[in-house]
Amino acid sequence: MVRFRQQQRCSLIPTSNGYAFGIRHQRLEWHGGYHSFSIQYGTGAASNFSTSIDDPTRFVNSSARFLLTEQVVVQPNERFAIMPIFVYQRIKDGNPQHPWQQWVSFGARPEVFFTKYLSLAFEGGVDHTHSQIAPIYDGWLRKFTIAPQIGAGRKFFSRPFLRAFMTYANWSDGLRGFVGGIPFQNRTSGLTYGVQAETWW
Amino acid sequence: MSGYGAGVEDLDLRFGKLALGYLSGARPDITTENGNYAKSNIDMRLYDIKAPGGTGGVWFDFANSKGAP
Repeated sequence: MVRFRQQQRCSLIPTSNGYAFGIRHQRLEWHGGYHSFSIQYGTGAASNFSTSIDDPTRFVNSSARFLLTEQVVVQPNERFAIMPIFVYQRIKDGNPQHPWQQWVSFGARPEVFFTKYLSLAFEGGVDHTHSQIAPIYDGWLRKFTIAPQIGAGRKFFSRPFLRAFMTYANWSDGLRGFVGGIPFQNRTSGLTYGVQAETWW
Repeated sequence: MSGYGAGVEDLDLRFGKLALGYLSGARPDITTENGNYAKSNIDMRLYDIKAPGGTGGVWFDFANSKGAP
């Protein structure tokens, strides 16, 4: 055991082993896009499914995560594409006083391609999340985005893209103070906009 | 998974493919008595396995984080 000197002077970091496993079903050539379904479960040091390391606690060995996802891209022609996704996640931090936290999310991004370079993307989504660990919160969030785009191609995953976006969201009173940081601290709705460039390699 | 490490992928097992890797990560902001707090992962995947309506895959990860000397 060693001391976690950064924040909690007296808390100890236990050595942690963890395992995670998952299954996935895919169809990579499907209606001009693909489908991918996965279920994952992990414990202890492996419970974040990542090489990154969460802030350690002395309960790390009892931490766990369950994640179920479904994502689909459908592109019937070169004028239209849509990507719906669904996520269900439960996590526990290992503290025996703390119950599971839950997150459910559904959203879809339809895109209309006018020319080889000009397109319009929309995205709508709904999230529901609840936590009984302080700070306690429980509620839903709805969001909708419209984004005119200039890009290199007519496929859903064509890149690079330059897009202007505007997003409106509202959320239940149970999430007041938990969404969007300081500018939306006392609100249950918000509007934001900007310009974004996206490229992959 | 992404991080520092090494491994192999696309090893042909006839019924599918295998990827095996070692990946690691650290928290430079957290110092323990044996150096930065770090985590090692052994990541194994079997994929491109024929399944009804597409392909299937399984994933297994073992992780270890050393707390004490």
